[in-house]
Amino acid sequence: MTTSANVVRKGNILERFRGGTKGRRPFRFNLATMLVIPYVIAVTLFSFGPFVVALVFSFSGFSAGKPELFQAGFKNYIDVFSDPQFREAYWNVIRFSVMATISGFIGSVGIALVLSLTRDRIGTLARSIFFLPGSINGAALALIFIFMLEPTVSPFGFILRALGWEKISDYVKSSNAILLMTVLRFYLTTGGWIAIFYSALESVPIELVEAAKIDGCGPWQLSWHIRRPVIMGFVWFMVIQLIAQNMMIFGEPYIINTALGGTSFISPYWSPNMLGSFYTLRLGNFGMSAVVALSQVLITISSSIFIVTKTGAFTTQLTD
Amino acid sequence: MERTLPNPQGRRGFSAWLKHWMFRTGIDPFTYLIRLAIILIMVIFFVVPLIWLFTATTKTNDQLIHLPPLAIGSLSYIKKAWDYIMMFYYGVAVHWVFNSFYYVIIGLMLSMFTAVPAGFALAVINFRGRKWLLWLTLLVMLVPGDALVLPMYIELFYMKMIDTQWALIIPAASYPIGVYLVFQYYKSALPADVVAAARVDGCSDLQLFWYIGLPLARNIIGVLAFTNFANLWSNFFAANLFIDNTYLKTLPAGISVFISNCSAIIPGPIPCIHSPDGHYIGRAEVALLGVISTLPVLIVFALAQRIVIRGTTAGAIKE
Repeated sequence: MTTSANVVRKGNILERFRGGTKGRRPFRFNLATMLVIPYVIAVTLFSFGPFVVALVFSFSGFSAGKPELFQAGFKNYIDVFSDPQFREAYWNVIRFSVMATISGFIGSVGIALVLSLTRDRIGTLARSIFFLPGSINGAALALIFIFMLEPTVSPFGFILRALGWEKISDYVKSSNAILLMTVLRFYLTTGGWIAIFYSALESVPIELVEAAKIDGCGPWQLSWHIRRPVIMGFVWFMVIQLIAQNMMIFGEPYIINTALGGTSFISPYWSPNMLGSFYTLRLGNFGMSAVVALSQVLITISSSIFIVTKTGAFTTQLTD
Repeated sequence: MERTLPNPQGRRGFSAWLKHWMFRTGIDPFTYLIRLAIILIMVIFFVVPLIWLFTATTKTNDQLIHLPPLAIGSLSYIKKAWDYIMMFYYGVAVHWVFNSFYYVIIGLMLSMFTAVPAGFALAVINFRGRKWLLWLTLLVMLVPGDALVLPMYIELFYMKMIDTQWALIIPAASYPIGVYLVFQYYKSALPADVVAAARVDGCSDLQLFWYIGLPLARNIIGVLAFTNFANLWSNFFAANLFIDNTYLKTLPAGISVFISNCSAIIPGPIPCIHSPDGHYIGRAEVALLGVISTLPVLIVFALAQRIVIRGTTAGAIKE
């Protein structure tokens, strides 16, 4: 039965198609969309594309080198989750992430607050110096790190020898790999964050600081109660970023494993990304590698949603 | 017995100086010393390994063990070390350096080509799907690139790009962080009344981008170039996974080939190269490759602080 209401609704559809309804933007090809098309294509192919590919291949099998889409069911998932190396890889990076994130948090916030106790050239110079290690790529950093651990050539060798360690194998073992990787990550990431926090702390209004001093705040209280809250937005962002980056670790353990060969304290499957590349390159099993990648994406997407929803950092721009 | 009289003037001078100093710095001397000590320890921690890396390139393997760790050996040894590196795979290291610059420069240009117009459009033009695109950009930019490398390998494999230079160049076009930075930049640097005035004068959206957006983009392009240069240069996971051909590798990925073939870190039974003078590739050569791979980003980082500040403070009206 055609009611008058339906007729009106149909009319509305036609109106919309013609672009005449009030309150709705009429459809028209805007030349300005050309500005976003290259980006939309790129992001679809290389940011969303890999995710879709991973999803499809995680359920796919292979026969004679050709993919059989959606034929494997949950086999790849079962194979990966029952692989003890997968569990070990995740156990490694979870412990590593916790240690590296906590040390990164304490180190960067603490040192930035100490730097900001007063404003002088030493603080500015230190900020610039701390910024530099971030310029080292993972491969070079792993090399430096191996040399720093080698008592015969390390500038810290006198400390290592004083502790009774004459060669690298005396104390660098797989049991303390997580601690060593944490030190390495601390070196790489903390300086950059200190520089960012210190710059943010310099923006604290001088009137606010003076008012707190008049109220009887000492330098440490000023740092903790007045300056620290200013950078907390950045700090939570850093924490989530650090967790994501630490979970993805590949370059440094890979180079260490390659450089030390048989004597390495890092196994070739130490992190999920190392294991995933082993599935891809050595086994040629794209399905299992896709499952590893999906597990990584799941973790990082969760972090992203956590940032956007909990911190509200981007709400103002989006609601403009 | 000769006695020296206290100098009230001097004492008053010191205490006045101390009071003035405390007023100026806002902290007492003890706190200042603690701050100084912490800074010193951290500077040693951050800088000594870097200095060591640079000085290691001037020493032979023997000198690395017998000279003090931060001592400089002989500057002429850098040239020798480079010559030894050049004996490896017929000078493949030159290809690695060239490839790194080539991939990074083309990748940078591609990322600018997509990010600047898109960021401008998101900030200034109200088109359908704008909000969705912005949300998706935010979500994607928070996913680290390394999380997508494995499935991207599969994608590129079926696009027949694996083991070609395009595997490292084309994906650089997707640069969501850059889009977000450009978006933020135009939001703050381009006042709404400038846009409105341009529209009243009959500017179309494309003209708005061409005549107002692009001239203003110089600062943000500097910021993007700095941040993305470091990212693209340091990209190890993708470079290692996507490229198998030794001559197409980037420098960071090449280092991995170098050390796995040469037993240079932990001397193995078969060194990869014996030069005519009996030298084999060792730690100094590896350190030199490490320095070469670090230097471009180090220079960019040293220059970048000023660019970042300029990029974030400059705006349409101030200019």
